[in-house]
Amino acid sequence: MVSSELILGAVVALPGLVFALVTMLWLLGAPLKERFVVIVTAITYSVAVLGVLALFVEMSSQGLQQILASFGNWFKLGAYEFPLILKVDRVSLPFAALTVILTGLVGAFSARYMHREPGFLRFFLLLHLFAFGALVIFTAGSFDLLIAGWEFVGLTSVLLIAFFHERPDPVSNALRVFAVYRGCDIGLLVGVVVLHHYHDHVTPGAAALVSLLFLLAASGKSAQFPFSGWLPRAMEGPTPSSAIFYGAISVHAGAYLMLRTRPYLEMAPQVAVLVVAVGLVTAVLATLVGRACSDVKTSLAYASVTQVGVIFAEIGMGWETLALVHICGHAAVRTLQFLRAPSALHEFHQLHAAAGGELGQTGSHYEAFLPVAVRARLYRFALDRAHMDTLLDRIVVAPLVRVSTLLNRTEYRMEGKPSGARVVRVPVAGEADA
Amino acid sequence: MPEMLTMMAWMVPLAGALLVRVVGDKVPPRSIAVAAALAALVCSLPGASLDALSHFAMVLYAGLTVVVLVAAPKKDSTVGEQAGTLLILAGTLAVYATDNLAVLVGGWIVSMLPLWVKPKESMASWLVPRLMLGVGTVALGGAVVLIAMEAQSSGIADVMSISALQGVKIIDNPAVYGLILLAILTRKGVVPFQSWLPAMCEQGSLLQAGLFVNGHLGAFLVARLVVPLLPNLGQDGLAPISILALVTAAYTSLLALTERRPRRLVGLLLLSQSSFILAGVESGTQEGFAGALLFWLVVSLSTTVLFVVLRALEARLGGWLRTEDYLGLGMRAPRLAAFFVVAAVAVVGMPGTLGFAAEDLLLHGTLESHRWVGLILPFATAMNAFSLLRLFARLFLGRYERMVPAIPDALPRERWVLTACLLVLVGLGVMPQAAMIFAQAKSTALHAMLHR
Repeated sequence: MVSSELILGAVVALPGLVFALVTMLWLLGAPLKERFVVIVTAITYSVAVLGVLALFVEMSSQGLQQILASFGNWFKLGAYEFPLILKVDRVSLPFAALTVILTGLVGAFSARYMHREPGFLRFFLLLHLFAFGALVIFTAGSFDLLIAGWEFVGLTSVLLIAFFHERPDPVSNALRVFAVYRGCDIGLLVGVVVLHHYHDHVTPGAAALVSLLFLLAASGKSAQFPFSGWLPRAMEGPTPSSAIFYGAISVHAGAYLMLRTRPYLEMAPQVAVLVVAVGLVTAVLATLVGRACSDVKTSLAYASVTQVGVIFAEIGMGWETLALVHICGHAAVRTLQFLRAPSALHEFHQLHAAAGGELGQTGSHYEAFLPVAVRARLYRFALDRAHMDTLLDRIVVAPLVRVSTLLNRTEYRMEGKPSGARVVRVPVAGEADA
Repeated sequence: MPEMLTMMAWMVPLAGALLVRVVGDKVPPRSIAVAAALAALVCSLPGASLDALSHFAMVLYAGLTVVVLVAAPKKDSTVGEQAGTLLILAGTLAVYATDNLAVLVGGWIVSMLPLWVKPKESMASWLVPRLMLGVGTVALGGAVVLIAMEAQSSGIADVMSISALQGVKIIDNPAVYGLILLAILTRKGVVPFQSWLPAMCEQGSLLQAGLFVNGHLGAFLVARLVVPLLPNLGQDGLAPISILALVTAAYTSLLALTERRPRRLVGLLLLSQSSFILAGVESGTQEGFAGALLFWLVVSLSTTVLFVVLRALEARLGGWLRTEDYLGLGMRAPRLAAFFVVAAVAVVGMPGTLGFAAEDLLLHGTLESHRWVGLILPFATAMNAFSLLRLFARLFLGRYERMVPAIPDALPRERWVLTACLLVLVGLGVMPQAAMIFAQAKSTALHAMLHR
């Protein structure tokens, strides 16, 4: 009989091990065929789903509130320890289940969707690394360990946005997303430092500070107000990765962090109100922007953020169970919609034909109640994606760039001259011949 | 015998530098230089006569030099370059190994010589590095003279022996502290003396500049001279060093945000990340020391890989690079791109690399003594991470293969040494306990040494 602790460890470690092994095989020059990669992916997530199922059966049959698996210390120095503790409870088990089921499905879908794509192997490797990071987030027994998973998810997200890296646009959009992620992750890092400072004696003031900092991190990861601007940029990645990241798992990681922050939110009700406000503002703005989007993936992304905004509001109000049910349902539906997005036009035509060319107008229900002038203003507002990128650019990016440029100029002046270096402009191949 | 080996560790590269100068036109200078650096590494390994910090620093530095010498492009394998690199190695190892203040000053000067006497591009741009490093050297010399005078007036026989002076508590002269502080700040490139490193990286030999800074002699001096010889200073007296180091970390990361010249950018990032070593050394806690040691290891290895890759690209393309546009070099040199990106994520503390454990330890070790570290470290590393990813994207991504000039990917000699560096960073990142055992032994010894 295998212990539940071991099963939990295996479920989390499996995608990480597959990533490491396949990467090593590739580095050693093994010819990795698409079929091999697909079969390995299918086996990995089938086993992981069975593992999660076993954990569920164990918890429900034994009436357990949680399963803790301690694997000693990741590292230890003197009195300082970094414990490697994994935990599943009624909050984390649904998230872990969603991760392994949806990653497996997306893997199966991608076997055809990514067929003969030059980055086929890279896509699957990043998918495994993402699943590993997400499972670490959802089963971490400490915030320190959660940070590790959080960073993996962020990094894989950025690398998948830049998947088609031959074009400058995906690369620059990935950079933008990375900047928002890293900026907001400061909240998580500093929050954990504050928690360590207070140890077990968290005062209401400290709880408010920690909740605020975690809200910053969660808002960044879940594209909440005022950080929603990165989301349409993230649609540069392949559709299956958009589905798993921005329809299902990554976009809900912020909500998970907020669920884990509930004890501190209860000590700081004013921050809980802020969480509700952020969620509701995001929901209203995102639904508005989504209605003005002209491409299916971006519309879906904003629809996704709308729902996550509502989920944030539910968490702020303390309706944890409702939030959990909402997350599970939303993740499943949105993944399906994202995966069907590439054939949306084809399906519309089929529907249109099936209805004998009599398909009714949709999507103009609420707007009809507004005066025309207001509608026009709102349309402009929505076209600029609620000015969220502009807002961040003006408040954060522009001052930073101004200060940095000023300091750089001063440095150059101190050195006497701008540059004496021989600068090479890398030519476009064939340019010289022409 | 152990003393002899330690002395040989810095004498051999010194002799190697002379040999390269004399027979470099008959024997390939790279062969002589690599042999001398390997000999220095072997002599440093036993470390029986060394304290914990010196042993760690010597082995790491000799190893780094081997990496730089092996991976340097052919263009940088001239007699002058190889002899210069060996001089930097010899001088730095002498500073690490010696107990004698005069040798320490001598090593300090020798390690600087190759960079000091090489105004290749223009005198104006070398003025800042020369001035700042010169001021630091004069300050260190002045401090040593003052220490010797005070020791002599107190009747100590060997006025140049650091161990003889340690614990005697005779040195209570604020001028000594001021001068040593100046030497530390200038050598470490701490604000307001940060300008020399980007200038040197841009104009001089990139690999030598990186190697020179990765000696971290400023941080070493805090542990070697300030804490043991000036115990009356206490934690408050040391605080200015840490505060200025943290300001440097934030300041240089801010500078890097809009810097478009890769050479300057990696120089700024090296300054920014290595500033945290000072805070760790000065924290007075075992976790802080251990975090500083591991951070030292991570910053040295990662930035060496970044410098080597950047220099390799320059050598292939025939000039200094600018990153106003995407260059897409990863399409032609995927291995160089992979080396670059792994080193970049390691230096900014991504999980899966030793940088993550080092940062974690440093944060916890310095939390009580320097709460600002808890705020500045995440901010600075976030900005540095963005700057590095931007640099990676500009250098390696954003063009179709047919638009990128054909350049060779990593050569076997580059591949071997860079892979070794990354194996250490990633291997110890996945299993950091092995690094912790080492760091604990070293930091315990260091803690005891500094507080005896």
